[in-house]
Amino acid sequence: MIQRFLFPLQSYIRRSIAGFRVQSEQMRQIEPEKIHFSDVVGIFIRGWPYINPMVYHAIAFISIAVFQLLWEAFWAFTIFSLIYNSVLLDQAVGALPAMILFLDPDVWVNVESLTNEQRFYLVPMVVMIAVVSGTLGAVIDNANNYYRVWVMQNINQNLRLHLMSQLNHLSLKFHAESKAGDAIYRLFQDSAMVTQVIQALVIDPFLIIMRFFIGLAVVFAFSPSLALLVVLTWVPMVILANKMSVKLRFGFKEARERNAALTSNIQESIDGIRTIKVNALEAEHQQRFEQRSVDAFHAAHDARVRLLLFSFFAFLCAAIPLAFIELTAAYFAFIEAETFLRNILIGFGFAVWNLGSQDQFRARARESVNSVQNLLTLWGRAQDMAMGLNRVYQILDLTPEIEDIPRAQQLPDIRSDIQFNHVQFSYPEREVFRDLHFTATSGEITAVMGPTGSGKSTLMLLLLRMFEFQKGDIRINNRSIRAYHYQDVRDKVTLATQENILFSMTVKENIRYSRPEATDAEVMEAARIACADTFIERLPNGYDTYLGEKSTKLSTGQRQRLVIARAIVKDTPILILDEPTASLDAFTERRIMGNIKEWAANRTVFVVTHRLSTIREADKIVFIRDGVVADFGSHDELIQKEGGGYKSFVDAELAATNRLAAG
Amino acid sequence: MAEARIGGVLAIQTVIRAMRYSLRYKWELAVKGMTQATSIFWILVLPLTGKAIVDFIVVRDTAPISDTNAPFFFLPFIEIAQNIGVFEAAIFLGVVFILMLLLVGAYGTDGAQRNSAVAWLAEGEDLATRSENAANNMHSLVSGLFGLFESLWHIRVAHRLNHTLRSDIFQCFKAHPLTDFQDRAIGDVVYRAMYDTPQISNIIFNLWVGPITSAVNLITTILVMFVIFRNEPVVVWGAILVGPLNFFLVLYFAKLARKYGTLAREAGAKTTAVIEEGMTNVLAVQGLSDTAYYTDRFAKASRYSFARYRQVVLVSICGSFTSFVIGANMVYIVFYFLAIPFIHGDYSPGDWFVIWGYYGAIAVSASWLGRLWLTLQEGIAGMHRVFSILDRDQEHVEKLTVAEDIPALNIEKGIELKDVSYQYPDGTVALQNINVEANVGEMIAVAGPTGAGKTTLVYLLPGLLAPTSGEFLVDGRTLPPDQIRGLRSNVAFVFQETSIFDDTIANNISMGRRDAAESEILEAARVAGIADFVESLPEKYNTNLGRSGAKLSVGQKQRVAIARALVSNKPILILDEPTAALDPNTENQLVSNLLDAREGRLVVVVAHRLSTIRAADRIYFMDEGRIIESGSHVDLLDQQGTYASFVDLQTR
Repeated sequence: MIQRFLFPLQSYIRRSIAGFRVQSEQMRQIEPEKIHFSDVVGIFIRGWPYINPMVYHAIAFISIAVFQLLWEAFWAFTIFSLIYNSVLLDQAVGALPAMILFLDPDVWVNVESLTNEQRFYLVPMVVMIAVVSGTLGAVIDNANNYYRVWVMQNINQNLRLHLMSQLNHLSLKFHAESKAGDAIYRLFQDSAMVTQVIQALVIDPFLIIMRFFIGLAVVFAFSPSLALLVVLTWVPMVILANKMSVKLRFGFKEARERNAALTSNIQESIDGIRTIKVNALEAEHQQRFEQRSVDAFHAAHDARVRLLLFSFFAFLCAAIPLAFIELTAAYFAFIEAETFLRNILIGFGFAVWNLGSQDQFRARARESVNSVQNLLTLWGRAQDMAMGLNRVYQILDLTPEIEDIPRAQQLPDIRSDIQFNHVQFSYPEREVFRDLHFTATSGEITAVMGPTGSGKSTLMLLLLRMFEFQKGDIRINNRSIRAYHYQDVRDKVTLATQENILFSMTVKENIRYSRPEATDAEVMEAARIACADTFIERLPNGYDTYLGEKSTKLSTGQRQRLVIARAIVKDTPILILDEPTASLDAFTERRIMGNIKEWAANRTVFVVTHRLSTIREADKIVFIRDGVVADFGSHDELIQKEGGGYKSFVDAELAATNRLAAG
Repeated sequence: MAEARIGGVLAIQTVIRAMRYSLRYKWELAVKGMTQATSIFWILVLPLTGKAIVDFIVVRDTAPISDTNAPFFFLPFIEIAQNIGVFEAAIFLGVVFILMLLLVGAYGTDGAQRNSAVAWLAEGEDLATRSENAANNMHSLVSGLFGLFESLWHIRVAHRLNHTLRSDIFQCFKAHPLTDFQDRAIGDVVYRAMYDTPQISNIIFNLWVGPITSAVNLITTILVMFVIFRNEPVVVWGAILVGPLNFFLVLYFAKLARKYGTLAREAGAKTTAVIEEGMTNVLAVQGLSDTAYYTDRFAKASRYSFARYRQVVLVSICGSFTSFVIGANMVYIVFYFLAIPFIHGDYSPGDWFVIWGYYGAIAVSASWLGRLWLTLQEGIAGMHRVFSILDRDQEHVEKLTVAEDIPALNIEKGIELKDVSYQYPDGTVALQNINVEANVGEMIAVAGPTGAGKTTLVYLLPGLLAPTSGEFLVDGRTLPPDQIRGLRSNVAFVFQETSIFDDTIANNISMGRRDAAESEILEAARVAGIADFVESLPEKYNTNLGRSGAKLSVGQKQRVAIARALVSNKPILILDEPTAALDPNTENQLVSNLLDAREGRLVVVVAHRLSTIRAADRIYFMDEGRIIESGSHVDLLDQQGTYASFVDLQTR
């Protein structure tokens, strides 16, 4: 029901998000000076989709909070009337308290005054109901508080997950420019601001404005001119907010960015700790870290001091008129002036200004003016929340470079060869492939080789749709790979990366990372093919040995074999091995290549490599140089070709070996 | 890698440790304590101005000065107020108000119209986001010039304290031996440095400032109570009793708060680690097309850390509920005893409010002090995670000092390993009975099957790992621990998996020697075979490489690392499989350069390729953590052993 009611809101959000969407992976800048009141509100409203799934819970905890307030007010009223009127003075008990305490109305309610015995009798009664109602109230309050935390965490989790899945869908190009520490900061600190949306956008302003008008009504009843003064306090407040909002936003944005940069600095330094240590650069890095740390603290300091001054000025804007109002009220009381709506106020005994009416008036005037000040302070804090959320939306607004075309097809199975048709691809700063043309046959191993930097790995990333080529085509099943869902293509292709990336999990979990449902038997079989079984079994806990992210427990060659096992266990029709044998000794290399050849009978396997011994195992060789296929064919064919790129490569390798034979 | 649970004694030690740590800012903290104590004075005096309104304007009190119970410094003002007309008095009070507003940001009959200089920012429902307000702690009970000064002073002290601790733990992490990082996720380091360290301000300000305020408050109020209501000791004793009752009844929760605080922090660190790994290894995540699985892994970690935080919330709720029950019940007990004299008419109804006002003042302070121990627990959980790193036995006792302080160490002869073994902390034996002699002027090759321990062996040479047994000799003598860094400053090391920093190519190369001339950088790049590529980039050597050099291929990164080693021009050059990702032409060129370079130097190469190995003066052939053969290429071929069959396999 609520969902239907909120439908216009959701379509509004959808439309406004569409306006922010960036048609590339280039993050838009946050420009605090160009953000206006409506934008800040818009930023909060955009948090709605994450609150939406929890909306019933949100309503529930707000309702419980309201109930708890009423509960507390009711009992406070009952208990205080008993204590003040009946126990301390000797007035009769009110009808309601009497009913609650099962007291006979004839004896307790409808009497002139209470006897001392009755007053003594009341004391334990009061204590009893106070204990019961207070404890119950506290239980409700605390339980609801826990409930609120749970609701807010769920809302936060919704946003975190959306952000994380967006980060995972952005291309390598985006990730090449962005930093892990920055992502940590956005996922933790920036996304947390979504938990404040309900409070800052709905609850607080509502309560504050309500309090303002109630107070204003009372002040008006006493004196319309002073009420006008209360209304006029808005003027300096709005001017102040207008003047300082931009500065606040700059401050908060800066603080968030500096802290994110510091987080990245830590991550990067620890990532490269070996190089730092071995070059004795600890001091330099420490200095850099401390500089970043100081910068972050300076930015946080500036932002918070701005907020501090802002709320102090807001206080002055409220307090100076209030002081004037209070003094005027005191003066009125002195001359005993008549109140404005004396016909109504006479019911409370406030027909003229006196000590009591001045007291009441002052309390209401204060509440009214203070609520404006509170609203302003909330606005100041809201600038920080808006900057935080904006940093999250910065990422969410990006359009992943790799996207499915409309009406993308499923790729159920691969039944054909893979054709690279005149592929052209450039990175922003340089061209990699000019015109790349060859066909990888199914059931064969194709070795991809060429000088360092010739684009061998890039070619494989194009096949995985990690980058989009500019011209030409890559075809599977006689269709461009762009015609399929890219996730489908990636599901059919496995990449064993050149940098041996392991995750901090056990050996077994690392192997089945790409296919969590793989059985233990499959994991062991993959380990056998990758020749990893022997060393794994020798580890202290075998397959259950825990590996750290930068695990030095394993040698590079061992890690490489785990990466190969992981690729094998995924069991896809296309397998890419990027320099699989770089860190392996000749004997292991031969065994692994043999196993893979056997395993690859119905698959298409690409091997990117420099090593002659590995290349020899391949059925076809693609030699890439200067952005084109310089040589293509089997080893035996190419070795015959005088002046071919492949032959000169083999010659260089053999020359070394020949010199060796001569030595 | 769960931390040991924190017991009571350890908790107290941690607090003391934090206090001792904060002593380096003792003067700054003293000023903060004094300003805080002064602000209490303001709050107590402020109601008097409000009283003045009522007395001199509304009621026109004309009682002689001696009857008013205003403090002495207020008397001159009262005297002025009494001798002027109502209107003038109003203006006079108005001026006083504005002065007070500017000075302490408060005025009014009860001081309730008061601004406190705090700049609290919104936070989420987990410990990481809650660290931000702790790190940027700033607080004053009043505002105005006085409060703003106190608050600004406060945040400066908090920042200095946090910055010092953050710098210390970061430095400590870098001083740890490499083995320490093998099971430690980078996310954990980030979490400790960013989100655990700010807890020091929680502990310090709660301990330095809070008790002063409460104690002052407590003592003055109790004294006043004894003077005015000496017939009703139950009020004072009841209020005081709230303190110890709170302390003992929430003591149990303190233990739980530590336990769940630690668990929540561990869960948060784990979540950080998952993010960090995924973002750093995005190629593997996307290349295995398991983004869904990874997102799920993150979702689980994040949900789990949220749940752990809820446990912290639950414990604190239990604590505050207990405290509420104690406070409320004590009120009723006192009420029960107090009602009797009131009914008998011993006191006027006006006294009722005065008595409860004082009761409240005592009970609030007593309750705060009683709960202080519980309040500290969250901080203790975070602080322990910091101190446990600072206290870590630093294997090499690497005294981290500024670069100039590294003791110079000239290597004349070479490095020798005598009967050395190495065992990983988890008990895995990596090396056994290793004997290696590596002299200046030689090129040494280390070869053998994967997993033989080659990399571990070359890690020993520059002291990146310390042998668990055997002798490690430099120029024939054992190095004292503080000279390890001196040794390392003689070494250029090219790792198998290279680290590229987010900096320009030129700066990445000159990491080896910051004062290298541009011509030297160009020469090193040429020798490493990366010059042509760099020249083809629009910004050439000033190209920024971005996060972990994602713009370069693995082979190119390796060349940058080699150039880095070459430019450093160090007497010892260690290359761990430098040629794995290089094409044969570049490799042959590199090897011949290395042979030239060995003059006056020691070059150590780990390699699989025969063309590299055979050029060495001496080859150590390893298997299963032992050196099984050593000698020159020709010698080893003559032996017809494992090495010979290894060569046979490659040349066949």
